[in-house]
Amino acid sequence: MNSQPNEKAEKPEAIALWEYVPISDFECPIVLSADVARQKWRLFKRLFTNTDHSSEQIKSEEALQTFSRARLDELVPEIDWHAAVDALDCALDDWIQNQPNDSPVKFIVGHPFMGNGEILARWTGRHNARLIAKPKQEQILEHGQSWLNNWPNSQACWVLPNLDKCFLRHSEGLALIRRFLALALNGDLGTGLIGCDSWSWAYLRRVCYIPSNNALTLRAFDGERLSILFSQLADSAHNNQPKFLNAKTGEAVLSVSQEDNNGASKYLKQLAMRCRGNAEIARQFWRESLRDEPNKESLEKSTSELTIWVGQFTEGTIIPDANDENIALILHALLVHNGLPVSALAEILPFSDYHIMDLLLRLTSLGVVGLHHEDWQITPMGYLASRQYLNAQNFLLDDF
Amino acid sequence: MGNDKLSDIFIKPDFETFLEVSLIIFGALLLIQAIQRLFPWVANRLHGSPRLFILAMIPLLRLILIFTALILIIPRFIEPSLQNLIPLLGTLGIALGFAFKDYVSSLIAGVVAVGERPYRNGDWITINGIYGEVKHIGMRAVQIVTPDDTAAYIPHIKLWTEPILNANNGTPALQCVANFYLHPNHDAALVKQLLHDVALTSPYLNFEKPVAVVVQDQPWGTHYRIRAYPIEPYQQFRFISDMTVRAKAGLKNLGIIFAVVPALPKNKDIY
Repeated sequence: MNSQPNEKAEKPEAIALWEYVPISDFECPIVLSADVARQKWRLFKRLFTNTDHSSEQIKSEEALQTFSRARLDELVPEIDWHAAVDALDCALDDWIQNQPNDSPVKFIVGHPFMGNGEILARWTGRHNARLIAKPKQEQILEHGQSWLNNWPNSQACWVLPNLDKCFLRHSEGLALIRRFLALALNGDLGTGLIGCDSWSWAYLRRVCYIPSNNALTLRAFDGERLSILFSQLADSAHNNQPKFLNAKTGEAVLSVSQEDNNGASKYLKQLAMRCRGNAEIARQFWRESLRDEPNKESLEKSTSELTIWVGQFTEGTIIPDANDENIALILHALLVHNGLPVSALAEILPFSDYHIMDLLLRLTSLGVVGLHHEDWQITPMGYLASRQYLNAQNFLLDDF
Repeated sequence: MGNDKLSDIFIKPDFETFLEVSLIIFGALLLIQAIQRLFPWVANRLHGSPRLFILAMIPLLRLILIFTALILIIPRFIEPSLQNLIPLLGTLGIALGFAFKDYVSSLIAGVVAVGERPYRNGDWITINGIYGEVKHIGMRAVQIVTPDDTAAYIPHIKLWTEPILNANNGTPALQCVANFYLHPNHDAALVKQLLHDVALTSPYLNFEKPVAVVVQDQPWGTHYRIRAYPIEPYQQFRFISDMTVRAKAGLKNLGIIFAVVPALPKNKDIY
């Protein structure tokens, strides 16, 4: 899936699909001024209307149909984070070899839905490191000395994949994480790797001391990287890669193969810009935009060439009431904590649990949040709308 | 100045002049009404600086429209020469100075208020002990709505004599203070840290602005104040309530005792 280090040596100009960079080097895909104007006009219109007519189908798409979920899973399967683990290995190689005293811990800041926890868990297995379990909610609120007292006493590197689950935005929910960070940054806990979601990172940097020079994050996926990624995902299920054609213009959206990838199509550049370089969100939008021609199976069987039409961007989820402060508070709480159960939301928000449940059900019906195990989380399709909603109300945002 | 001479200043208006003047007045009123309805409607769909900017534009645009209307109307009645204007304005000045001194002073203060901007629409101000949000800046008076949802109309003339306290001064940054009165026997450093965390964990907190906890010993106990800023000025009361509720719970968990001052009768004669 990813270019291995020895392959990179043979083809120095190939794009590294997965790459960890210092957090200060992170750049969102370049935004074209025309796209910015278009997006601002769309948002401006949304201030006055609850519906967005820009998501109407263009004429040529009326004859097309959506794929079944099973077929979509074949065409755009889930991202295998294996290659990202390779990239993390490359990025941490020097640090693991030298283990400098001045930086006993490294922070890996993950973009939403980009499998940061899973990548770190796989890295842990590969290096025989110790995986540290998150503290329980009671331990966080009771300043959880037991969690720190049970820290493994060994020379092996430890990995805490979810720092975002080690605090609560509660007056008594910060003591544990402050104590942990003080010990970890001082080297008292040995060498370790700490994973953290980008929204929690933005919040924690304002309430605790965290040096950002020890933080790495994945490079943003621009149009070219998305083109390679989607080609690889489609390749994984087909011997012959299908042709992805723009339903409006008829032009190819994906390069035929990675070798002759001569820059991404405008469609993918716009998708990368809209998704802020987040590959998983882009993948979800990509899935939503794929269209099929009805009754074409016989034709495909005779020619063995598969054509898939790419419709115009779907808008994703829309949050209709632009001024509901309670919705903003609940969205922000979910993002800052990377998902929370209702019991914890009731601890940190200034309204009752039945009101919280009411808001969550409203947001669920809109497709903005969903229940994942016990935690309520923002959905990938609801993420961009949520971010925009919070941005409009001047809430603290993540850096990505 | 004789009556003949004063009448020479004016141009004899005909039906066409009256029609033009009516149209100018009607057009100006229509535009003013449109601005006064449309701008707040748009502003209330925005947050932060854009909202305050749009609200602040309303009195300025209205003033421009009124002056434009006057500039268009006056030459239709008076030959606009220096020779004509000086006696006319002098006469008007004397008449108004005696009859409507305060009213005219308020109008002039209204023009100054638009220029100097001691208060703008959307600002939270205190005049004469009345605190509220500026909802409308009229030609004569400013309308503020208090936290109890009571509208107060204060003439601009207060600008000359009264201090105007502006809590956010055209920006979204409005400092809130939550007060706590504790029994003096406690660990002040611990309480200070708790109150600081109360502000940092409030969902309404504006992170662009600093948080401070001020501690002051008093004869009856210790007075703590959290000084912090909400994201939007209109969240100030919810912000203070949120900090107060959570701080009280936290202080109770720490076993801190609140200061209680016994109520004393005001009138000694009861005894």
